[in-house]
Amino acid sequence: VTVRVTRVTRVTRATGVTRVTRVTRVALLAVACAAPPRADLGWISQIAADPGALRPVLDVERDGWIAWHDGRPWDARLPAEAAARATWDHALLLEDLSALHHAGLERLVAAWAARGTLPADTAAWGVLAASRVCHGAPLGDAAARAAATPHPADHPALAARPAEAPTGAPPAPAALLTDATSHVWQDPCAELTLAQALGATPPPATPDDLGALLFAPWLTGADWRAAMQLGGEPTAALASLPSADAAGLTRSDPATTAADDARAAVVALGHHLDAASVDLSASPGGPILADLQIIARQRQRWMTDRARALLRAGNTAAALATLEPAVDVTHRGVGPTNAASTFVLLAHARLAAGRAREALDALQPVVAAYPAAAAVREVLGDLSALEGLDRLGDSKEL
Amino acid sequence: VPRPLLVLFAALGVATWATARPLRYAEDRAPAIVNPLFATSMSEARLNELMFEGLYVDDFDLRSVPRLVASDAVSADRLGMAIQLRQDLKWQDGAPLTATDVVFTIRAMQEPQTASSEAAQVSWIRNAQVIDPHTVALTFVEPQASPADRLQFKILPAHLFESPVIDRAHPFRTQPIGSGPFKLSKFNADNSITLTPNPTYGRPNSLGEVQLREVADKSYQSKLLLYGSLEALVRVLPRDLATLQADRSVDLYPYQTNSWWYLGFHLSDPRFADVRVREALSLLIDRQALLAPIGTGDLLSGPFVKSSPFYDHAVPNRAPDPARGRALLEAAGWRMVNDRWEKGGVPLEVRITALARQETAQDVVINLQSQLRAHGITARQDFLTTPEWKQRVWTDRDFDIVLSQWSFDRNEDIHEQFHSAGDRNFTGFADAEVDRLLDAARDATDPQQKRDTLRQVHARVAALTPMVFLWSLDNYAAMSTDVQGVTVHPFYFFTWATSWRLD
Repeated sequence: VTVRVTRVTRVTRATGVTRVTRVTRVALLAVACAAPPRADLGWISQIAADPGALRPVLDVERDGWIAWHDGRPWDARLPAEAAARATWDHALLLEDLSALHHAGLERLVAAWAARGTLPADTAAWGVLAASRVCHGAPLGDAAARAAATPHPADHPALAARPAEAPTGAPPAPAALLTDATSHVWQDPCAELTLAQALGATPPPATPDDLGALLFAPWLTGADWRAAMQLGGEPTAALASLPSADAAGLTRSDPATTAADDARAAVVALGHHLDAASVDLSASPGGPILADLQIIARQRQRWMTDRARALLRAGNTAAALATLEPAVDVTHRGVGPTNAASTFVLLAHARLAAGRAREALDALQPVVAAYPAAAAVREVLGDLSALEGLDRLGDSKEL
Repeated sequence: VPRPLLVLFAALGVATWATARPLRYAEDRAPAIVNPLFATSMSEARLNELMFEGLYVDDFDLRSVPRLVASDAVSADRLGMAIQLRQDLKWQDGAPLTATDVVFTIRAMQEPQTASSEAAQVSWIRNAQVIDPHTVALTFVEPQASPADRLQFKILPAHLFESPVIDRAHPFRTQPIGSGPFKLSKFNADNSITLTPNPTYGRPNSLGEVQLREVADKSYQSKLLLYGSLEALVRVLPRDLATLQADRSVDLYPYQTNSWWYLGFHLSDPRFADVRVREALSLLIDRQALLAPIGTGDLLSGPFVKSSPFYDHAVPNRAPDPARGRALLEAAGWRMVNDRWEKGGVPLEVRITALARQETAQDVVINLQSQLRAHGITARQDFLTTPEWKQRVWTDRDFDIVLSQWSFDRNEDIHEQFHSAGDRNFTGFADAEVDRLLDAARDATDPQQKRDTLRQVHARVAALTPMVFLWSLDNYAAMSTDVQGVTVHPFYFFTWATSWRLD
């Protein structure tokens, strides 16, 4: 106690304001001196306590588990309930790509039209109208402007296609069409069609066994069931995660969260997981958790889910503030600590912030791992090229 | 408010920045000169961003917005523009910033005897004329859809120059006067540069003193940041990212300047005039092995980074193929004699020219020397200081092979590097088809046409191999968490620094 008082006294020289500081600091020191709560991280804690439980789970469909851990849900062949989660994760990636594709196309056509150089017989309006139909957006003026091209309802992108669920990563798609002006257009509904074919509904209520929970973003079956009862929105699963909530990650409304709040939540989550990591490191399963980068992977998945909610709420600044530190810069590309969706959402947030060229930087690792993303890259590339048409570029050495 | 209080407030305001912590940032090399007319390196561009202003500037959404301009009007035929300057503009020495300065800057950049490295930035302007002290009239060579996007180059104070013919050694280079938020206070003995807030700057500036520190060793830069001896690193080596990301006192910021490394051949050298020799060398070099010691990145097949819309992903990356490399050298008339290539009794010996005091380049040159030696080619190191580099590489073109890197803003305009008339084309590359394509890309009004044209350039340049395209690195800046409100411009870095806060 004497030490605390001495330190506080040195920091604060009697003014009305600093008295508050003194009280706060004493309180913080008291908290710091209290015994840290033991981490309760559901299936992670389960592995920490009993690493032997992992072996029988991983021995079934080992390659599938490796793919799932490695951030490649499209390659994960897994036992029933785990497979449903991988499929759901794959569908979420396709939905993220689809939303990015639509947002990029909206901006491209709008900017091109505003420039006044979009040819009269362009297919752009028809493709945009098709995209709006797919994504449930109001048709607006796109249908009227698409008069010169096939009616939006007849657009090839909306034609019935085999709703076959993709196995593995879909290949880079061929362009949808080349119009009378020799412009090439990508299918704006392709990613959504694939997502729907996968059946993008949340996987069934999760039991509590390790085989169903391993590598899931939620920590316990009870958490997941509670979240589904609350609303069923995938990211709502976070709302009942004790650890994420304790870290302050889930408390604020995505629509109103400021960028500073988002940064604070990221920092708080980091401290929370650091503490958990230290706590678990001495346990029997500590080395396995470290080898598999489980804590870092979990942090990354939570931040990605949180950012998705922020982006869907239209909160670009907070999404960016969450996504930039979510990327593990020490491991290039998609992997255990970098989900493909993280990059797609980062690209989307940058696009929303007016940074089309930087969105391409974010998307590139996804294209390397998931060729179907190449279509979205082309749309963003056109937008980036369009935005630079009137500029003389600058270049320097180093 | 009583006058004595105003004086007190003013004094307190001055005291605020005078006593605030300095923002200390590291560059591998401090700029040799400070004059936007002759800026060739990123460190110069970043410093200029703190000291000088353009007529327009990027806002946070990267749209051109007025900086020195009060209003503008583009003619109906889009061949001309009238610009009304703000009336409250001042240079750091107190002189008014007027239309004369704008017209002078354009003429100085266009003046052939000045030989500005930025001449291409104003090549589209036919004429610039002072209408009155605050009005400039510009006419263009061709109609301009958005001339403001091209008017971001830095404006210079006419009253400090005798004529638009400006020598690189003009005293301005060490006593620069700008209109930006900071003014150069002093060059220090340790090559650092101290900037202080410009009292005539008419807009908010949350930062106090800024110090540029020259630290050649990248790893040492990271240590200085971690120890609290620096607040910012503009570019972190990939190998240091793990340490910095793990430290809670440091934030990382993506700083993708679309940069790539290359080995450029001096194409007037008869040995390298033969494309077979250039291709042979590219096949004898193991780029991945050269990259590994300095970090991780993408190997490239041409003059764009992989995320560029202009990168042609159909062009394959060349893998090392010593057998084919040897066959090409033999086809070009070279013979292996005593484990060394020679032609007409002259051995194949090359100088590899690179900047001195750049640790990563030194690593690459040493490893490249070793690789070439193993294939019967003698390579000598040729490390140059920055002034030597500007003279020998940019002006005299005195080199065999240069190791360097280009950084591009988001437009990734490679015209100046690969057009036969380009002012950054010091390898001497000239190909009529590439010239035609580059001109077409610059004139394009259609994004898909521009994209397709530049992908053709990529493919053709890759085939002609005027350079060995090496790699792009993942670029991040790192800052102390004490620096708040940070948004980094994707190229010039400091464009929005006045809104940063150092707590």
